[in-house]
Amino acid sequence: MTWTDEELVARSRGGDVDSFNQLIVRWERPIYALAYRVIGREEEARDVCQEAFLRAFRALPGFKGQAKFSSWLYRITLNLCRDWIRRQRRTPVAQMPEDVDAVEFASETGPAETIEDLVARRELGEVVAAAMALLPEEQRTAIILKEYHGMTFQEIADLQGCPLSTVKTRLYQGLSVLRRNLARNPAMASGIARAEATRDGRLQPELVKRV
Amino acid sequence: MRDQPFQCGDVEALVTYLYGECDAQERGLIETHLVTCPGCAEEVETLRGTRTLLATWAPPAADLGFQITRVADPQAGEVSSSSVLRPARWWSKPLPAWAQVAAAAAIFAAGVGIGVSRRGPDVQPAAATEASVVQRPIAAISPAAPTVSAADLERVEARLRGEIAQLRTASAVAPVARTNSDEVLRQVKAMLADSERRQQQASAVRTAQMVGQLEEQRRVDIAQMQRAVGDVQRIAGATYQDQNRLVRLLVNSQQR
Repeated sequence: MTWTDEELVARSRGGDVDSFNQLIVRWERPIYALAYRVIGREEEARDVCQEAFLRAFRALPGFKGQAKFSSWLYRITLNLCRDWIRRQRRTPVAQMPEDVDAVEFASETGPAETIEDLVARRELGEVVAAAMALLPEEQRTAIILKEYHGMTFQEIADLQGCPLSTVKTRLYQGLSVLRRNLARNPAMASGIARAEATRDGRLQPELVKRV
Repeated sequence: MRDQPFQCGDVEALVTYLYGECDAQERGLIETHLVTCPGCAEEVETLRGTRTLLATWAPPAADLGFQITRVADPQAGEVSSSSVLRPARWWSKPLPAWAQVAAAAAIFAAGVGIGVSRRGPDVQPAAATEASVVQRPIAAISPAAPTVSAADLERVEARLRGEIAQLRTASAVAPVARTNSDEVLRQVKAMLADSERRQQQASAVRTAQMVGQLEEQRRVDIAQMQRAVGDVQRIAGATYQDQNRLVRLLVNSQQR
């Protein structure tokens, strides 16, 4: 039987640690992905992910279900990311992924993608990561929440504590600057052409279920 | 629906349209406008293209598997919250879960056995719920106890009996079934087998994942090397053709 988040939260609040561990299994990959994309570093993202669950577990008695558990967890994670970025006192630099999960990648993209496609896609992803790291934190976070976590404008506004219109502006400005940065990169010329050529084919922008 | 109709260059409306969050009426207005306005149409296409590129950015594989492994036990004198979250990596654990269960259960079973034999069959043995068997001794007793003296066992037995009595009085749950040491041993064996099976399954899955990742990485590396070699060969071929052409030109010019 599969419990809902709300049911697992209720059981966790009743002292059932296993239920909370089920919530961790369910949410650790999206939370790690969020932290990684926001702060751009693997090890630190892992630490943030662990700390987020630990804080959530400790704060569980105070969580009255006023928001979705996932939203609450996202908020904790983003706060931790913001703290980390402030501590760094500089623009975070995206660490080039050392090891893209190629197996997961290949299984998602299906047999139609050749190894050549895989290599090109991976290289492209690294350039995108570097370009994203140049964006202001608010714009980057808005794009990440929208593109990779499938949140609505309202959910992003709630998480970022800003009006709906600000979220839309951040997305527009972020995407525009990102595009300009990417276009300046010579390595991107063929990649952009390639991605656009397959826009209606294998490469799809919706990554909501990926993480 | 927004209060104002869509106006050319309204980027907020275009973003709402881009992500499919506008209502049918607004979408219709924007689509009609895009047909006649190359500027807005290009803007939307550019944003769409950028979204497509974003799809290529995947987070790296990470060894996660976090689990809450220990909870503060006020009865054991732990006043602060001492929850420990750590990755469930079997090779980095100080002691596997099944070994912890085994050690704790062995001590408990021995304690119960001694208690029964010393006090006679009329003494009610330490009945226990599954929770008290598995979890509380782990929190209270060091799991690594290779040699146990009779005094240790007596202390453990007394402590367990005390805790069970507390449990009984504190929670009015279902009545606790009477059990004996054979029953306890049977349960412990079943738990051990179950834990070991889970451990083996987890390590098998992990190994399969690692092998898969290594194989994929190898294929990617080979493809990159082949491409690099191909580039070199193409360059060498082009150079060779250039030289040939130069030689022919020289020969031709000398013949003239």
